[in-house]
Amino acid sequence: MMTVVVVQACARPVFLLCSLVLAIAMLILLFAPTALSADRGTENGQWHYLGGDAAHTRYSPADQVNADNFGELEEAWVWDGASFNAQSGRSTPSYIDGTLYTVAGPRRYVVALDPANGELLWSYGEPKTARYDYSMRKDYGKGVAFASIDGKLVIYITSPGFFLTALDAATGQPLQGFGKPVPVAGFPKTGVVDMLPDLVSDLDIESDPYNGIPLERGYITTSSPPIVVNGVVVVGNSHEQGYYQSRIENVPGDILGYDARSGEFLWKFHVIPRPGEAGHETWESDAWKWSGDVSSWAPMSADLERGLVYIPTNGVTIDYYGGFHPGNNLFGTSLIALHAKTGQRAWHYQLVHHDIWNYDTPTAPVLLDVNVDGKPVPIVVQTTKQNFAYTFNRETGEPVWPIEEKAVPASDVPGEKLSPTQPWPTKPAAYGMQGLTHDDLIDFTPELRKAAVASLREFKIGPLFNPPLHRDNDQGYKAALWCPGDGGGTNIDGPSVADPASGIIYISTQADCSSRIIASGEERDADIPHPTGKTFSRYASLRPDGVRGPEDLPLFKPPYSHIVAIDMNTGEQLWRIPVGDTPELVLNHPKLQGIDIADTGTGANAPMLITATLLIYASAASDGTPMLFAVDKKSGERVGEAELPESAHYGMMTYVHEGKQYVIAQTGRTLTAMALAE
Amino acid sequence: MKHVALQQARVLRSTFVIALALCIGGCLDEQDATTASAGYSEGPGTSDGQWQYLGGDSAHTRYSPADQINAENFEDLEEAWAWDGASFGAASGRSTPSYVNGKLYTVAGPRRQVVAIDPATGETIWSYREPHTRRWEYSMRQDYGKGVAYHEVDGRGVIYIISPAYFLTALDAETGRPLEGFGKPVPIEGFPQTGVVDLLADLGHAYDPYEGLPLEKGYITSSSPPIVVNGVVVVGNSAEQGYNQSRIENVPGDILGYDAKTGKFLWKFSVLPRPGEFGHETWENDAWEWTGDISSWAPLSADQERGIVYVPTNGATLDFYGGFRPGDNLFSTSLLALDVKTGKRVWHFQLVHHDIWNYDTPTAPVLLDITMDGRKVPIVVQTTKQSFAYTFNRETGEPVWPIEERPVPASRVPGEKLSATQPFPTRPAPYDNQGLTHDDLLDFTPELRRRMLEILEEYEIGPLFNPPLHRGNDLGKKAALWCPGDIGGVNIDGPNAADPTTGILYVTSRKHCSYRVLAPGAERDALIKEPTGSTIADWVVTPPYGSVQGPDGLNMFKPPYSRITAIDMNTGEHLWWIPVGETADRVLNHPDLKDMEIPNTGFGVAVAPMTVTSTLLIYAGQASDGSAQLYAIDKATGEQLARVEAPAVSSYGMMTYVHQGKQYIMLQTGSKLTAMALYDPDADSASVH
Amino acid sequence: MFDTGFAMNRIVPAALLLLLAIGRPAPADGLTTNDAVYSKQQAKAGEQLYKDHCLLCHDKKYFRPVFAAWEGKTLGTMNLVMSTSMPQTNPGSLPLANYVDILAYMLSLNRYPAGQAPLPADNQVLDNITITPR
Repeated sequence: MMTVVVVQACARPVFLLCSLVLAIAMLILLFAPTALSADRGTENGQWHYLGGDAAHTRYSPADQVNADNFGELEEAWVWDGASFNAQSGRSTPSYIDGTLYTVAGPRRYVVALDPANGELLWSYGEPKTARYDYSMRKDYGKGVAFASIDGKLVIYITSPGFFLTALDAATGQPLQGFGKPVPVAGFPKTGVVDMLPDLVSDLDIESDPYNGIPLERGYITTSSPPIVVNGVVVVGNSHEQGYYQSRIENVPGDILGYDARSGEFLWKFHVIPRPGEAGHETWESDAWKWSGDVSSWAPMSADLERGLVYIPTNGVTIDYYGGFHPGNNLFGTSLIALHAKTGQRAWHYQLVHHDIWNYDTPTAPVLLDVNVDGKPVPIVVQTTKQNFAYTFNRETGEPVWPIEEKAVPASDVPGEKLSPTQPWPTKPAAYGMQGLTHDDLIDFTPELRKAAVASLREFKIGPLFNPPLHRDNDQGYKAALWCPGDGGGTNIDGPSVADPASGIIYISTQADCSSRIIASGEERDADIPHPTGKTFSRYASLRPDGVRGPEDLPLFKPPYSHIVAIDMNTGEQLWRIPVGDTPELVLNHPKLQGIDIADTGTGANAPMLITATLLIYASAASDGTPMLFAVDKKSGERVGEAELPESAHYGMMTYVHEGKQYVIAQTGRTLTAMALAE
Repeated sequence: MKHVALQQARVLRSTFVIALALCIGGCLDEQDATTASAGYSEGPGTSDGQWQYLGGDSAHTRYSPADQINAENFEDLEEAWAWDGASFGAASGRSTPSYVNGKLYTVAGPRRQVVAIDPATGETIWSYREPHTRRWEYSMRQDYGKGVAYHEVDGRGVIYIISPAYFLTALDAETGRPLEGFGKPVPIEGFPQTGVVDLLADLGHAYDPYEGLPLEKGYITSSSPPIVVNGVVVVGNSAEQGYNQSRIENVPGDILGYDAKTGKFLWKFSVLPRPGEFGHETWENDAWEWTGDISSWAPLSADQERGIVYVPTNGATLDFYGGFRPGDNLFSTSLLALDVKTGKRVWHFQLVHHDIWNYDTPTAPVLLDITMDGRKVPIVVQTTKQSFAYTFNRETGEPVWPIEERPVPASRVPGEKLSATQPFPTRPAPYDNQGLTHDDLLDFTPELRRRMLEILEEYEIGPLFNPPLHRGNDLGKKAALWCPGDIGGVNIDGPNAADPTTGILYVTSRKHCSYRVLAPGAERDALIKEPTGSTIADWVVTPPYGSVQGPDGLNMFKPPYSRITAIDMNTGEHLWWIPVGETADRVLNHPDLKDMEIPNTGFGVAVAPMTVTSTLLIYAGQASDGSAQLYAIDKATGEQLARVEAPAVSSYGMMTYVHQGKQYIMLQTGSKLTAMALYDPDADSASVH
Repeated sequence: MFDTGFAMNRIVPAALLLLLAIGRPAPADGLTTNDAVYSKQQAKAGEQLYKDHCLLCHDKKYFRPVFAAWEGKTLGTMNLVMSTSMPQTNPGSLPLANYVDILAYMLSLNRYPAGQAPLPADNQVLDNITITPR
C-alpha cells in the first residue's frame, strides 16, 4: 500500500513532494508501533496461523533441525491440558512474538504458554450458556486467530457457543472496545460479539443470548478459528454432524465478517443463495428456505495481498440422503473465494454436486505460486476425502487443468435424485483409492482374498460416488459401501502441507470405505435426544456399518495409508511413501508367514510439517511406538526418525524461541515439544 | 457522593438521607491511619453449604452443618467429577479449596496459580498466575499452597493469596482479575498495575523487587493463605526447612497486617522481640540481631467477634541445633494471639522452649466453645507433632487445664544448651506415643521383639524431648531417636477436625520416630547449593537420617500405627480412638506373622483427612488392598457406619459443600481434586456430545 | 452348542445377520448389561486401549447418554459399529478382541456390574446381551 502511494507521487514531476512522501513513509515504517511484520507468518521462527502462514502451507523456513540431527530430537517439555479437560489435541498452536497460543478442551479455553517450558501463562474460558451445551464440536477447536490492533497483539477465537471473542494477548483479558456486552451471567463487559443475531437477522428466527435459537429451526456452532484478513475477522462455522441429523430443517452456515478492532458486524455471505443471488437455481425446491448446513468447519486460508479468503464448505443438512433438496445445491461442498473486505463472492467451484456422501471439504485450501507451462500462476489446491486435489487459479477461479463432468451412478433410494455427473479433475491424477472393485481387496493369499470377497457380499460396491442404499431395498443388500468413506481419503487428521519454494504439495491419504444403514428419518430420530429441525427426513443414517478385513487384517491391498508428493507446477506425482511402518499385526500375522509384505503404512493419516530441508510427519513404528519421521522433500526417502512419548494427531508445528527450534506434536490431551538434546 | 440538580430540593434531601444511611452503614467510620476501613463482611463461613476458609470457618473446625449425605446413603457416593491440575503443574494436593458464592477456589502448582472451578462440573473458570521473579525460583514451598482466603469488600468477593515469592495478591472472585485499587504497582515486567502488595517492602529489610532479600541475610516465602479478619488481611509466612539450612543467619517471620480493601500496610508483629519488647530476654546473646525463621507456615485461625487472630509458629533458624541462640527464644514454637486491628500481642504460650526438634506447630489452632463446670469457656486447642493438645482460654491465654513445666534431658552436643524443662499439658492426655521405651515396640512374637531391640541398639532412645546427638558422641550411638519425629504426631497432612455443636475434637496422628545426626557444619554446608546466611553453624544435621524400620519391613511400633482420637474438650477426656483405614495386606500376609490374628493396625502410617458434618465424621483412608476408601463414622462412638470406595488416595485435607442443592465431598487427591456426590441417574442421561 | 457342519456355517451366521439387519431385540431370556457380563481385569485391559485409541474423541462420560439412547439394542450391534467404523482415524484397525475389551471398559465406566467372566469376542453372545439402564 505504502509503495503504491510513493510510486504514484513520484510519477508526477513534483520531486519535492515525492521526497517528502518517501521520507514520511520511511518515518512511519521506522516508528510504527511494533506491528507484526507483513511477512508470511513463519519467518524468524514464527508460526502465526494454525497453518503456519495464511496460505496454510504449514511450512516454516526454520532449519536448526535437519536430517543429520533429527535423531537427537527429544522431549523438551509437555503441557498437559487436563485442567481444561483437553482430549482431542486438534488445535495447532500459534507461536507469535515469543508466546504460544492454543485452545484446549470442550470449553475451548484459550491458553497462553511459555514456549521454553510449556508453563501456563494465562487462560480464558467462556462463561456457560445452553448454546454451548448443545455443541457437538466442543473439543474440535483447531487453533486461534490473531491481529495486531494499535500495536497490540490480539487473539481471536470463535466458540462452540457461537460467540466471537477477542483477547489482549499479553494478559488474556477480553479486548477493550470490542464487541458488545452479552446479557448473560459471567460474560465480560467487553471483548465478545454474539454472532447469532447477525447470522439469523434475515431468517426470521429469534436468537436468545443464553439459549441460542429454537432447535426446530436448527443449530450452529464452530470449530476452526476465524481468520483475520486485512482488518476483517472472517468467521466460518460448523453444524451437527450430518449423520446425527434426522430432520430436514436447519440454518445455513452463512459466512460472517467483523471489524477486527471494534467487533462491528460488516457483512454476511449466503452459502445458500437466495432468490436473485447467483446459484439460486441449483435449489430445485423450496428447501433453500428452511434447510441449511453448508458449513465451513475446515480452516480457511487467505491471500492477504489480494484480500481474498478461501472457504471450504460441506453438504446440506443430513448426510447420505438429499431427496428433500433436489438440485446441485450451491454452495454445498464447494470452494468459495470471497473478498474479505466486502464478503462478495469472487468465484466458487462446487467439488461435489448435491453431495450426499459426507464428502465435506475437510482441510484448508492451500495457496501456492507456481509456474504452469512456463507461466506464473497463483493457485489454490483443495485436497479432499475423495482423493482429488482440485486446483484453481486462486484469483480467477479457473481450473488450472481441466475438470470434466463425468457420469456417475444414479441412486435407487426412493425420492433421491443425484447429479448425473460429478466434477473429475484430469490433473493431478487421483492420489488415492476411488471406488472399490475386488481387485482392490487384500490378496496376500487366495484364501484371504476369498474371505474378503465373501465379507463384501451384503454390500453394494461400486466406483467413486457409489450411492448409499436404503435398508429396505429389493437388491438383497444390507447397505452400500462407498470408497473413500467418511474419514477419507484426506481428512482433518492429516492436513496437506506444501513447500512454497518448490511448489510441491504433500498429501496424506488413507484407504477406507464407509457404509451406513439407511433407514427412515423417524427411526433414526428416536435415537437422537434433542434433534434439530421438525420434519422427519424420509431417510437418514441409522448407524454406521462396514466390513472388517479377514482375520483382523485390513480389507484392502496396501498401502493402507500413504503420503503423496505432487509437483503443482506440473500436476505430476513425484513419489509416494507409506505412512509409518508396517504394523506388527500384519508383519507377524500367522496367515502371512513366509510372505514378503512390502511397507503397508499404518492405515492412519499423518500430521505433517514442512521445513527448509525436511518433510516431517508423525506416525508409528511397527510395534506401535509413536514416531516422528523425517523425509527428504524431493525424493521421499526417509532420512531420520525420533521417538515421540505419545501418538500425535491432527497437525504439527514448529517455532524457534530464544535460538532453539522446537517441534510441537499435538498428542491428544497434551502438547509435546521436541527439541534437539542439549 | 451523588451529584444532584440543585433545583430539586426534595431530591437533595432524600439524597442526604441516603448518604446518611450509608455513613451509618460504616463508610465514614472514624479511622486512624493505621486501622482498617469498614465496608467488609465476615462472610458465610460454613453456613448455607459454603466452605469459606480452608478450615471451613475461621475457627478452622473443618465442620459443616450440611446433612444431605448421611449414614444411610453414604455408600451411594460416587465420583461426580475430578479436576486435574496438571495444566498448572499441580502435584501436591495440599490445598483445601474454598466454596463461596457458587464457585470453588483453590491454588495449584509451583506457581501457586489461583484457579476458580465450577462446583458442579469441575471445569476451570479462570486462572491467575503471578509473573516470574527470582524470588519465586528460590522458594522451596512452591507447591505447598494450602488454599485461599475469601472475603467481601464493598459487596464483591475477593480472593487473597500469598505467593511463594512473598507477594500478597487480591483478585476479583468473579473474574480472577487483580483487584482495582489494591496495593501498589510492582516495578517488575508483567506485574499488573493493581492488586499486588510487595510484602518485602514492609518486612523491614533491604531488598530487590525481582531478586528478593540478599541470601546472606536470609529468605522468606509462604505456604498457607492469609486470613482476613474484620477487614484486616493477616499475613503469615514460611521459610526454608530448618533441616535444609546450615548457616545461622536469617530473617524473622514477622506477621504483617494489611487493609483488605486497599492493601495498605497496617501493622507488623515482631516474632523475634527486639530490645525493649516483651520476651527479648529469652535471647541470651545477640542472635536476635541476625537470626530468624520463627515462621508461621501452618494456617491461621481467628475469633472474629473478639478480633483475635491465632498464629502458630515454628522454631528459630536451624532445626536440631541451637547452640548459637541460647535462651528460650520467644516466640518460636508458640501459639500467638494477636489483636487483629493493631497487631499487638494479646497473649502467647510457648509450646516448646528453645525448640531444636523441628516441632513446628504444624496445623491450625482450632477454636471451640466448651462448657466447663456449667460455664461457657471460649477455647483454642493446638495439636502438635509432639502429641499434645495444648488448650487455652482463647481470650485470656490461660491454660484450661494445668500445663506443668517438667524436667527434660540435657543435650550432649557441644555448645548446645537446651531448656531444662518443657511444658507438659496435664490434660488432655497425649493422643499418641511420646518418647520411646521398649514397651512401645512391636511384640507380635518374642523373636520380632528381640530383633527390634537389636535394631535399636545403635540409637539412643529416651522420653519426649530426647535430644539429638552429634557424630562422635560419647555414647557411641549412631544417632538419637526422638519420638514423635519430624512428621508427627499430628502434621499438616492430617489437620484436625472439630464439632462445634458438641465440643469434640478429632485428632489424627501417627506413631513415628526420627533420627538425625549432627556433624560439623561445613560438611552439610557444602551440599547446599545456595545456602542462606553467611556463617556456618558449628553443628548441622547431616545425612544419613530417617526413620527406623522394624524387622522385615514391619512397623517398629505396636499397633495402631495411625489413629483418629476423639477428645471431648468439655472434659479433656478421650472418648474413643480408631485406627485409620485397615491393616495393609502386606502386614496381614507377612511371613513373620503367619497364622496370627492381627488387630486393625491402620493402613501404614497414613493419617486421615477428615471433615465433620451434622451427622458424621468422614475420613479418607485405605482398605487392606490399598484401595482408597471413604469412611463414615459415628461422631459420638467412633463406630464405622459405612464405607465407600474412592477413586484415589487423599491427603492433607477434605472439605464439603452444597451447590445447587447437591452436597459434594471434595477429596484432595494429589494433582487432582475429586468430588464425590450421591449417585444421580439423571446425570447419566444428560446429553453431552 | 452349534453343529459346525457346512450348512450350519452358512445358515446360522446368515440368520443372525438377518436378525441384525431386521434389528429385532434379543430374545426375552437373553442377558442384559446389568448381568455382570464383563470382568474387572478385562475392563482394565480395555482402559489402556481406550486411552490409546478412544480418549482422543470420547471422554469418559461420553458413553453415558449413548447407553441410555441405545436402550433395547444389543452389545452385538454396538460392537459391530465400533469394530468397523472406529477409531475414526483408522476405522477397524484394531483386532476384534480389542474392541470387546474396550466395550468392557465402557460398561465399567457406566458402572455396570462386573462379573467373573470376560465379555467374549463372539457376536452370537454379544447379540444376546441387551442394553438396559443401570
